Amino acid sequence: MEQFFQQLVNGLNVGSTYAVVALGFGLVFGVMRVINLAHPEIFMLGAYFTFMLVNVLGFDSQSLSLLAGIGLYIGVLIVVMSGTGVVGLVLERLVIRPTRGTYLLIPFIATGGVAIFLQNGAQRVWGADPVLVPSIIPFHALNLGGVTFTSMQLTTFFTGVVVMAVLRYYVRSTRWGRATRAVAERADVAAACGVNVNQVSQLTMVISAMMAGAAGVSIGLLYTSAAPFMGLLFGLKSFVCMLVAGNRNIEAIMAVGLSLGVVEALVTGYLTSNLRDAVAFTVLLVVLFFRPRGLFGSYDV
Amino acid sequence: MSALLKITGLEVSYGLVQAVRGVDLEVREGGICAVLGVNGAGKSSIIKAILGLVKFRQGKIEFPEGKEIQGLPPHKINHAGIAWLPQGGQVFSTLTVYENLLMGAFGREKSKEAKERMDQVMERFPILKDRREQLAGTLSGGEQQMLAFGRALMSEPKLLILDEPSLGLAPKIVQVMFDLVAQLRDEGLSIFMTEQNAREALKVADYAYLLEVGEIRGSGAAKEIEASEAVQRVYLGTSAPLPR
Repeated sequence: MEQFFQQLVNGLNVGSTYAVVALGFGLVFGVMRVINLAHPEIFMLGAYFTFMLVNVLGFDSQSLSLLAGIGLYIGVLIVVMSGTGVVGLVLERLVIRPTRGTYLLIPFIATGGVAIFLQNGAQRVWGADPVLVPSIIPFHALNLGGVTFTSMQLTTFFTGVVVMAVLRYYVRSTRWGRATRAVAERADVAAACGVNVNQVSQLTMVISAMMAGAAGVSIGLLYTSAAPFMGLLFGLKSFVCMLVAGNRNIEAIMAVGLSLGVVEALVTGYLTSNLRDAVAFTVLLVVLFFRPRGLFGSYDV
Repeated sequence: MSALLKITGLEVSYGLVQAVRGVDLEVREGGICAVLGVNGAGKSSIIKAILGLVKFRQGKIEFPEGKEIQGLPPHKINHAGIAWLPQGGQVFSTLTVYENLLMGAFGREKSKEAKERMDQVMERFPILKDRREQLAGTLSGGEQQMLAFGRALMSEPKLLILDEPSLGLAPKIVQVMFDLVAQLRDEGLSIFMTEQNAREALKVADYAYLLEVGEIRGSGAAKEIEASEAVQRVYLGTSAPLPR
């Protein structure tokens, strides 16, 4: 039983980052009808930005107090999210705006090109081998009834939860969030209501890129590494989470992301880590076989 | 009388298909102007051109009184004072009734005017008040149409554009809807509408245009149009169609 709860904790932890990346896919697809293939690479950049920032700051995490570590982490998070937000802004203006509203495949291929560019660019700049991302949260472990929570795990999980809560608040309760939902449903009607659709699209891209950046910070620090192609598998899984949940419902995307993390952790814990991805993808494919438009419906085209 | 909206030489094409072929028309202030035509005559294309939702090769659109608006993005055209009731209402089904109305006044939701407007709309359509927090997608067709009306009125437009407002509604609701259109005109709103239901539209309209395959084939005061042979034949079905 303890092992089960331990795997549950580990799973929710990674799952929260799947959910955050999947939400970015879902938002951009919902608003712009664009599958942003460069999204996972923004996540990868988030991890590399963390690597650079932490190295520049040059702290030894063990010499920091927990509170200072968390403060530092929040600072890094804000800087990296701003950085990836700018990447999202540029991507929207240069690649997505000129290609969206045409045939679905055109922005798909265009952002795919950006993805390849970013992967190879990262390889050129930081090398093909994974780099070490030094941890900035000093190691502490909390033991609750045999289940261990490390300080980094808790930080990752809280980051995911806070990002999701803020996004949910934005989408459900703010004026621009309301406009985002309206554009996602009927862009022409929203435009005729006085909504600047380009502005909503740009805002959506920036938000989704900032979220991918936050996931990059979490995963980079959690696994203490960044690699040029780390976005591929992670992004594919998150994308499939979005497909399984359907793009209509952000709570559903969150739930599926978290569940995928748990399924993976349970397979790793009870079977073998070699089967982790195989089982995860099988579950996702089986769901899609029975619900081809996702559990909660509609890739509205 | 001056023209609130004036369209000159409008041509709209989709690829090789030309939907609107050199249309000139005017909407006078404080009146109801109807464009009558069958499916595919180009009615919706004219509306989309006015709203900035379709790019067109040629034509001038002036609103209000001589200010050219062609080429502006749709949200700027809305800010200039044009509101739209799309075909079938097209409420935002995943937003609540209240949120739909707020969308109608996007960018000024918090203003005193918008709040007054909201109260007026709720008063005009009490059903919307009762369903305030319900998702718009769960309303009946007639209720959705009322909501779409309310949303369009929220921006306090100078010109209200109705795209086939009677389409798909039950006859009783069609009557309510046209009464509402007449009432809004009496309150001073200028209205531009397209319709296939010529009989009902001509009862409320002041001025009408006949649109066939993208061209204006006739225009005049609603009473004259109603009496004209072409309308009798094509729309009101009082005599058998002529053999070709």
